[in-house]
Amino acid sequence: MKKLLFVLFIVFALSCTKQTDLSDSIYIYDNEYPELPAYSEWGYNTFGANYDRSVFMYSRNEIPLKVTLKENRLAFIFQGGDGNYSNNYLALRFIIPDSNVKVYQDLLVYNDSIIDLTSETITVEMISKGNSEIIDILEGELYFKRSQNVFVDDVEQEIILSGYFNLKFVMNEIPSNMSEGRFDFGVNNQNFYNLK
Amino acid sequence: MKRTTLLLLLSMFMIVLYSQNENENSNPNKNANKLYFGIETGFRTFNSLSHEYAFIREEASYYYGYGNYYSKITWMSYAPFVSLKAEYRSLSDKFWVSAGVNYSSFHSLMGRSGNSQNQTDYFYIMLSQSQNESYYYRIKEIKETNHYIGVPIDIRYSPFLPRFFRLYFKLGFDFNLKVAAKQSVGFYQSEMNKHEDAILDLFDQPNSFYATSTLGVGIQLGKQNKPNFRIEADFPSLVLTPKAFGLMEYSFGGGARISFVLPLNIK
Repeated sequence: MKKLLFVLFIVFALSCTKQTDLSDSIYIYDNEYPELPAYSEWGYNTFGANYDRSVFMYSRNEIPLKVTLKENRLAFIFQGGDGNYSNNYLALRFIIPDSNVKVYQDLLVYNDSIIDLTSETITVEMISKGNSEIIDILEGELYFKRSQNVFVDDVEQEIILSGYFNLKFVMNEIPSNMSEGRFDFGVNNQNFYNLK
Repeated sequence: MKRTTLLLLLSMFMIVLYSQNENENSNPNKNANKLYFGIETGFRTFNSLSHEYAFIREEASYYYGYGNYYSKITWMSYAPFVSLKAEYRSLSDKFWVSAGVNYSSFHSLMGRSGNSQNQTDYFYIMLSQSQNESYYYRIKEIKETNHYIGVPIDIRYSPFLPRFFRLYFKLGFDFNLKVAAKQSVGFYQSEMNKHEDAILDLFDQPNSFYATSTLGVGIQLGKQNKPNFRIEADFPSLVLTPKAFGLMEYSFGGGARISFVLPLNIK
């Protein structure tokens, strides 16, 4: 009877699956760090990093990346959770001065570029449980290894940003470490906001 | 000790030969037809293993409880065939050895079937990529059909004496030479058909030859020296030639066949 219920549950779960499209998140686990998504450049809409003894990961409930543009300051907001499969909302906002990006297609200029997070012009905020706090970066970088324009059926569809990140920081006088961070995002008008 | 064992084995062999000779002599059907002609048709299907195609975008649509489950592209295959065979029966009509000529077609299909209204029924293939641009195409299915002329060789064994209803077992081989092949792409948008050749160039091409071995079990209906009808199940059929097919790899499968055999000299 238990087996039957299990099979029925599987069938039910499969029948409730989300639509799989470019906007969905596709988790391909990393062989070396199975709790993190493998590095990819397909626009799988995932990110993850070791966060002390836990992980900072994308979650199914949040759009993993939002990009905002306001007064020549570009913000990359990584939205996910603290810990695998948790509902503890956690986000990092990397705010970068940029006067060149006007539309999401302009993000191509970030191809193979490294943002030094210790720079005074860079602000990093951590957002959790509705609270936003600027964190002191001890060391860290945001590396856009690849920025590419994706065409689907010969129609321009989105920009894919892929790369790595890591940072050591202090928050509430407690130092923490995020390492082995990797991301693979698709950006288009759905998650690019010009706040003006 | 070795000599004793050898003598014992030799004695047993002689006894078996003698008994067999006695059986044949005492068999009321010792003048049974030994040559038969048959026509056979059926199909086989094989388990399909995808080649490692780095240009196909992964998909993971299944999520429940606490885990991710990759949705797989559907791989299907079926191989209908028809054969003409000559059959020689020996050893009290218990062993049947046949060989002939065989035509078969091997159909392979890869696609993504949405099993609910909110699932897509296509997958993405990356056709080309430069440093700053990638071109994906939505594909509903890719088909490959190969046609073969082959030589089947079968050995059947029935442990029972001739009767109307006979159970038998089979070991078979077939060797197939490709005579024609065709691959096609079903795009999500038909306007993209102009890219069909470029997409197909990404995939491996089938080799010109494949061989299989098959175990089977079947029943034969009909009297000795009369037309017989057979129905047979093949399992497993093992593909003996790796990388024989273009789209995907096959290792083993199964199938069914029916045949009609006629004695060449009806008495």
